Amino acid sequence: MCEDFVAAIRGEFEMPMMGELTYFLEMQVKQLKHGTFLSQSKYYFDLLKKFKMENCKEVVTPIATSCLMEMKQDNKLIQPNTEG
Amino acid sequence: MPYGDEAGQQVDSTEYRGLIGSLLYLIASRSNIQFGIFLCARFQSNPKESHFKGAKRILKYLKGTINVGLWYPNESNIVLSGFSDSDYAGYKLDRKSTSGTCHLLGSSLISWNSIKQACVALSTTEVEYIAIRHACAQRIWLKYHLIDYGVKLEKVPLYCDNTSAIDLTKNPIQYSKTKHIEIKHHFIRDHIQNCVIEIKFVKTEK
Repeated sequence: MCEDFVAAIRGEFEMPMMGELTYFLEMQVKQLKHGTFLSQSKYYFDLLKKFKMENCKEVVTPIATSCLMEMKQDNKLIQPNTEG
Repeated sequence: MPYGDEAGQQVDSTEYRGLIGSLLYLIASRSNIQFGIFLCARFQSNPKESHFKGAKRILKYLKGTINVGLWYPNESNIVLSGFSDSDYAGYKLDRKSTSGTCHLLGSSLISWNSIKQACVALSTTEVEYIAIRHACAQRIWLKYHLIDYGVKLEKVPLYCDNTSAIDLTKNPIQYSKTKHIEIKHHFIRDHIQNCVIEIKFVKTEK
């Protein structure tokens, strides 16, 4: 099926055959025996560099698990505990 | 992350938007950070130092789990299953809830989303009911999508962890606590009657 597709598309467009897909639009594709693995670690490291955070510490959750709601009213801070 | 941090120090909104935009693309392989990014994205119009810190925290989180990605095993087992869940009044500024859904084809994750609900819900049943509605809409889209590939699926299970929301989908009677729910959310009932979808209970821990 794959070869038929290549033949059909080559008849229409000029297209070099570059072999198996490994990297496409910042997406790393690893084709293994039992399946395919997608990851974006390269994109992530570029992002760290862009925001100058190469030496940042790791945290275990993406957002803080406890947070206080701060709303200013009449110049008094009300801080109800919103977790529950 | 403090929510409407009015007193906080202003940060460059272009940089903040850049960070949010870059993080959004990471959702393509890391669906679990979606909620956090969407939360940070709500402050784009007037970002403060604390919001910027919150967005950077997502980057820090990814550092520890960078080798994680999506795994699509080779298998011929085509079974579609959907899951829906939501928090309750999770967004502290306007007390709206966020629902999340995901769909698996066999054991491959093919579709996921996280949506802040458009109205304030009065009960956990209502939020879960709206979450089911989101999942159902996505599921119907996937159904037509799969038909294009020659796969026709019958009743598809959709898992939800709230039994009262499941009962509500099967029961057309209006009770005082549920009759205010917007008409559009009831479209799920029609699809259950037409046997397009079947809602099942799943424990929260599973």
